Amino acid sequence: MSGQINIKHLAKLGNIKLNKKEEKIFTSEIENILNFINKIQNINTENILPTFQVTNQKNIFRQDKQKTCLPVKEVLKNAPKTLNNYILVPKIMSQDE
Amino acid sequence: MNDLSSLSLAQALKGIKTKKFTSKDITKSCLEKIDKTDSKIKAFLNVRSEAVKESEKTEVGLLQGIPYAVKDVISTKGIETTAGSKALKGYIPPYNATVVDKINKQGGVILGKTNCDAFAQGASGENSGYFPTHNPHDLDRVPGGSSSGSAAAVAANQTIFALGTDTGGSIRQPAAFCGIVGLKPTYGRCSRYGLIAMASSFDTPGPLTKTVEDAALVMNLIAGKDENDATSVNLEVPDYSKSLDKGVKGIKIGIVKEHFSNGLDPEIKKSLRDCARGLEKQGAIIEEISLPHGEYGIAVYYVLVSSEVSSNMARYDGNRFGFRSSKGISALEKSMFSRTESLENEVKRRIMIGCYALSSGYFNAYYLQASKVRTLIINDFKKAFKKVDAILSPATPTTAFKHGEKAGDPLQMYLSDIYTVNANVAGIPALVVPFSKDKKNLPIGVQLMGNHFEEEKLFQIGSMIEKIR
Repeated sequence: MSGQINIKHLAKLGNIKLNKKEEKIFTSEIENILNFINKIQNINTENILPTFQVTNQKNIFRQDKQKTCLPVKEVLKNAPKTLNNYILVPKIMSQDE
Repeated sequence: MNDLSSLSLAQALKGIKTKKFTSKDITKSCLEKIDKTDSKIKAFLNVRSEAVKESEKTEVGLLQGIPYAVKDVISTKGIETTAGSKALKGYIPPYNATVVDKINKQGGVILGKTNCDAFAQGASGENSGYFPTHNPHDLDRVPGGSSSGSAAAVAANQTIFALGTDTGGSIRQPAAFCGIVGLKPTYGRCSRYGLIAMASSFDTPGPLTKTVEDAALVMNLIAGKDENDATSVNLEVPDYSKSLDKGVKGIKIGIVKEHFSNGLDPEIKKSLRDCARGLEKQGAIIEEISLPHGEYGIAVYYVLVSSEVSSNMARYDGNRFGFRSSKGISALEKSMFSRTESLENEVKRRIMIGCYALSSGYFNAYYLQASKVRTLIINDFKKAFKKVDAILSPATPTTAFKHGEKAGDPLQMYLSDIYTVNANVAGIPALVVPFSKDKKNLPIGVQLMGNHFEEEKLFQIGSMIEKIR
């Protein structure tokens, strides 16, 4: 089944940019995979509960206690740009906002 | 003993105890082996020459300085960890993964980080953002994936043992292709803290070793509850090595009738039957069982894993760590260019499949339906484990394939996990043990699956498989 997906929309949701050639290849590959995956649609799952966690654990609570944090210097070493113990990122809002 | 790098962990421990050699001698031998062979095998992304000094200085714990290799999706404090992806080039974790911490506290010394499919997404090692790893048994062939370098390094005696991660077969499929032992523990048996997440409800760290005994020894070190991973389970950790010599008399082993249909390589089929017959001779009871929903495992896996991937990969925005593009002005634009320029194609593919499966209008048909079929697959196993102690199955549909053979067809690549994936869907433990070789002299592994937290039974049967092969 082709025309099943809107690759531009999926790329946008994933915050990825594709060129024309990539759009074509990914469309055909993903549609091929979805055609295979679609076989789960025919299984009767009436009254079957979904599984999200395989060892049946419920909420795990812990004491809200203060602990030593990771050393700031070592953590910031991995940031592409920093200033005075802060991570520098591009402007999120434009000037007129 | 001339070549200390070829020692099993158990042999290394014994030799150190009886003062035949030191852990420094072993580390030297491994580094020499890496030096000699890794230009062809390409198992390592980085090698630590300082390991020699470290093993000389380390006289603590069970391991006393014995060297091991770590898959690059597992965080190692102060040692570059890229997850095999260009997106994390240069990333230096400020902390150790719990499994690494536990081994190091017992005197383990890290030889280096092993290559893998980027973010552990792949089944051949060809999706590494750096270079492909080669199978030591035939350099034209893939080592399997995604724990490609860990499996190849153990098989080529570049290390005593290695750590890997398994989300759909990423420890077991390369173990089978490379002729070594690989265990995917029960989900929650070992902490995921410090694993670079792919699919959080599937990911499991585990050992790749030369023998079943070694896998048990490593599990003794890494299993247990960890307060940094809420999904790790608070259950006592048994001494796994005690289960090794128990024999298989009276043990019930299931053979899955659906596994003998088309698509399974005839030589692997024969190997599996030989293995079952051999176990039967030792007193095991072989029973045919059915896992009727097993055929949906791959479909379920790629819906749920891609969904979790699309969420977990959102953090690679080029802001706090990893690659930041020089293109783009606004935050969103810059993050888009950073992702576009650094994430590998398989990662992008899974992100987009996940976005599809989770988007409004498709959620019920894909994510929710797959989660319900996941329950049906689990129910199949529950029913099976009422009848049998463990399940004997193929590890892979074929032996190691050639580089490039499946690289252009993602679906074919996905199907190479057809026998391993259901253990992750259900969260049960599964052990691959090398059993025989095919006509091309490539290793054939067999797989044992057990009920939740019953790794001991797998070691018990697995060590017998080593004796009868």
